[in-house]
Amino acid sequence: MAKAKIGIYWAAACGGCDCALLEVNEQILDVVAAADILLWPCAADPKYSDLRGYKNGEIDIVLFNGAIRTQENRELAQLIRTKTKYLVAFGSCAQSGGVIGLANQSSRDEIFSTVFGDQANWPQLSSNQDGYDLHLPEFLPRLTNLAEVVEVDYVVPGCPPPKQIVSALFTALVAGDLPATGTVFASSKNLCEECSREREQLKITQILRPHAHESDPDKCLLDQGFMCMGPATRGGCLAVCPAANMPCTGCAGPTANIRDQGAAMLNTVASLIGTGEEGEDQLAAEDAILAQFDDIVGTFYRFGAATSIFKERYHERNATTR
Amino acid sequence: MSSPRIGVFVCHCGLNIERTVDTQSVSETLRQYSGVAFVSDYDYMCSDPGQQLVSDAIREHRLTGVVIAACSPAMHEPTFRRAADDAGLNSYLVEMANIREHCSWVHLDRAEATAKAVKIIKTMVEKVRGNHPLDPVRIDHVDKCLVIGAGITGIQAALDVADAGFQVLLVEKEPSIGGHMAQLSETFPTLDCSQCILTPKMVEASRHPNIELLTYSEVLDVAGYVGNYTVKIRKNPTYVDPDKCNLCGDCEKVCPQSVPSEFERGLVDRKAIYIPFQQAVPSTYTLDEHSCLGLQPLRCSECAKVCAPGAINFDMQPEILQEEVAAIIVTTGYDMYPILNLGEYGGGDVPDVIDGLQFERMLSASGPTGGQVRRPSDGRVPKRVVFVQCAGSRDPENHNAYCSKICCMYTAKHALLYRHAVPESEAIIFYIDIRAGGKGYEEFVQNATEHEQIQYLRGKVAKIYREGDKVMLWGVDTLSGKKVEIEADLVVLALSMDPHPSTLALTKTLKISCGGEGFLKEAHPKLRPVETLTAGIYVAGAGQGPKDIPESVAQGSAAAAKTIALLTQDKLSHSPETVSIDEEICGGCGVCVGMCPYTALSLTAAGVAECNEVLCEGCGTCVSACPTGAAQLKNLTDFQLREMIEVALADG
Ligand SMILES: Cc1cc2nc3c(=O)[nH]c(=O)nc-3n(C[C@H](O)[C@H](O)[C@H](O)COP(=O)(O)OP(=O)(O)OC[C@H]3O[C@@H](n4cnc5c(N)ncnc54)[C@H](O)[C@@H]3O)c2cc1C
Ligand code: SF4
Ligand code: SF4
Ligand code: SF4
Repeated sequence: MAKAKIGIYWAAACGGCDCALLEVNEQILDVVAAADILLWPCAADPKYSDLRGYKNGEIDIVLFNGAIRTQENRELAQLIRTKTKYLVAFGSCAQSGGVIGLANQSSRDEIFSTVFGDQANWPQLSSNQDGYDLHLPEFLPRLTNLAEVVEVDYVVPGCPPPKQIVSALFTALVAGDLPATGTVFASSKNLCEECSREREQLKITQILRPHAHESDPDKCLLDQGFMCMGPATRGGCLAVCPAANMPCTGCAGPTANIRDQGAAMLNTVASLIGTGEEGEDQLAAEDAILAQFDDIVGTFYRFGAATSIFKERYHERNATTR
Repeated sequence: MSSPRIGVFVCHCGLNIERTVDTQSVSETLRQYSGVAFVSDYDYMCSDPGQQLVSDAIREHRLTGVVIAACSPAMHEPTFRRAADDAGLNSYLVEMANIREHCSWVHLDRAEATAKAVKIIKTMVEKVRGNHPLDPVRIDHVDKCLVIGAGITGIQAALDVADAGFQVLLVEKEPSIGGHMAQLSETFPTLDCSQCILTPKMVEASRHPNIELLTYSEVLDVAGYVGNYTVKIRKNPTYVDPDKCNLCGDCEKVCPQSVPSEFERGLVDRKAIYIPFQQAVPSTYTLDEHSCLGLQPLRCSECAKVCAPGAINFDMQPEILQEEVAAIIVTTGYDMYPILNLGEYGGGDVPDVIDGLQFERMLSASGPTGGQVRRPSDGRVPKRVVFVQCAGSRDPENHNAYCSKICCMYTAKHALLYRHAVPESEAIIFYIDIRAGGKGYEEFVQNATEHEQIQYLRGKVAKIYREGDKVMLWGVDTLSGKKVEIEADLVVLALSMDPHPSTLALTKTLKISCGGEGFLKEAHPKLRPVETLTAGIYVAGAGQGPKDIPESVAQGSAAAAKTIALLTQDKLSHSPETVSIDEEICGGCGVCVGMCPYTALSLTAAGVAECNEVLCEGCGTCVSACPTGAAQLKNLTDFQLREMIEVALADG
């Protein structure tokens, strides 16, 4: 059997996904034994020309991590798509935009002012430094996930993807036994199924934040008032966060039937909020609970803002492109 | 699945739709729409030829789904589903696109309304595309019904169901059945004696082989669903064995404890051991443990000492009964608006200001005064009685906003009976307007005004107070615009009718609703007046809203007819448009379980949610709460909804 050819690529990413690949420890040796790694910017130093040099479909599979933030991310995603048979959205950013998708709440100008300050300091698309023409890729008006730009064959969720899931992917890869395209490498059920905390289906009577309040280690965090995203999130991670007293933040994305993870969880929370009061008192009590929320988008759309129904905050686009 | 072949049928509804929606152009547009295999339009789709058109097209064009673009599904969905079924197409593949109530009736611009009609129809085509054939859920049922409240309405309903050959459990809170009608003297408009027409029915109810009477009892809990409700009933101890009691009344004579008689509306006292009235059913004494000197420890026991047959048993315990019933009829009746709330009318303060029911007791031959009208304060026969209508009614700022409906009539009756009972007397009635709709009602009031010299004063009474041994009324005669001040011997307030005080708690037990005024709520005020939104639970009588005896009896019979229709079915069927749980997705978070208002959901041992489709009413509450999308309504999935929203929002 010919050795498989694999690639690993990062777009708008933090580097965590690349590290996560190594979490499988020795298993990486099996991978290297069974496959040639043609592309891995984090480990080697490939050039655009190397990639362009491959024949269409020459690479068997590319694990793509990171979101699409710049024109360069987009072009490379398109190029890689032509060169590989299978494309994997690896990690939350490729899957759903990830944490950095929260930037879609701000316009490009707002982001630039925050990061670079005065407009004079903003980066220019073309400039001349010491006699050299420098070009920067365009900063896209809106961040997207990988699937909005090119067709994706598999999804490996997680921020970063947990060891046992990466390992399952490698096992399938080494055995040449990839599942049907469209497969998400995670549980089909929600996280509560894997969580050992006890749920009592109480009402949510208060909103607590994990850094400010101690939690009961045995009881469901949501029942206690901590906004655990577990109910609206795919399992597969074995509920390591709730086990460590951290509410699930939703990094694995929603289950198959859900279009918008944040909206699904908001519906759930809205259904559970209440104190048992009735009539006018009930409304007042519910309002008082709702007022305890600090950051609704950050809580419920931490990883899914860019792929939510709205995708971005509505604002008049800046007419000048940079 | 092979590609869909959906038929679209556009109704003109005479001019109802055609006037504002261009049905020709709608049909043309839909003909081009993907998945649509046949389009037709017709004057009245719901007519026989219209239905025939649908059945024929289903057969000829092998349609896989049908959209009827016409009126609300509440009107004709069953019509067309049946027509499709006859033609061999599963009825759940038929949907209505409402282009009348939601379109032609509410718009004026023909072009815009036409465009909107197209959109409405397209969304329903999308829905039908995602529909699956379904079969109704079949349910076995028991052959018994429960009637709660044994006033005239409950008695009538129980008798009708029992006469049809089914078992009835008739539960009454008080020691006797009969309700308020037992307290009335003579009844408008025919002036027949209330007891004389009621007691035969009470006796019949107690003797009927198919009726089990549970007096002095309350419904504690109700679980289950139509056809199979499990009810828990507490039979409170009367401490008197009805089989031994021979009604000698010796106990009553020796009992040292007196409290105001509820039946006589406080005009006289009763003892702690008592029979509410002579013709009470069941005919036995009751020991009221709240007014008894003390059962535990036993303090007095005078009654037991004199009871020759030894009927009194201080050790009697409450009994909890559990019964299975197929249907429940709620006939809990009314109560009077609290007279204490009418401080401006001296309510509860001036002894000679009484309410209508107290006056009924005075007029009643079996009442505490033997049918004579006498003032509570000094027992004198009043020579001038003023009747005040709408006391506590039609006053949204201070009291009940609604009209109690029967007070105009019974006040005319009161004045007339008073004039007959006391010669040389004067009867004055304050009224806002006279509402005497009903067979023979207007004639009754006319007769009272013309032949009985009853004086009707149009206006509102501002204040009633005591002066010496008289009762003073201040008011305005709105016809002359003059202030009036009247000195009366007795004032009778036509108090507003409230729902029985137990209504709210009972509706919670039954999981049915009350309207804003607190009366039992019907499913539809016009078309489903005795049904509730919960299948198998019916409401009737004055508990549903103020009404007189003829109307109460009619509703009692109507609720009985609905119950009989249910009981005569071999099996009950229930809509299959319920929730289904995708076990591959459900992680058992349990969010849905606590949401369901019909307790249809539970978690299985395997840790997934399970829906009892017999209980599920398809309300969708759980669907919106479920964070995984595992819970989906059959034939209205999130996927279908998204497709529908997308075409609804698309351009053109
Ligand atoms: C002053 C006055 C005069 C009237 N005169 C006339 C007249 O002349 N002609 C006429 O047609 N109508 C007259 N009416 C109206 C008449 O009284 C009502 O139409 C009739 O009594 C309604 O019957 P019902 O069975 O619906 O309610 P009710 O008579 O109120 O009976 C309801 C029964 O349900 C029982 N109940 C309540 N809650 C529970 C519970 N939770 N569990 C078990 N049992 C319960 C109650 O104890 C009661 O026995 C008059 C009304 C008033 C106030
Ligand atoms: S803690 Fe979170 S994941 Fe665990 S049961 Fe509660 S909601 Fe579900
Ligand atoms: S809410 Fe949804 S995921 Fe949770 S138990 Fe119910 S059906 Fe299952
Ligand atoms: S749809 Fe309504 S009735 Fe049916 S299970 Fe869900 S919440 Fe209960």
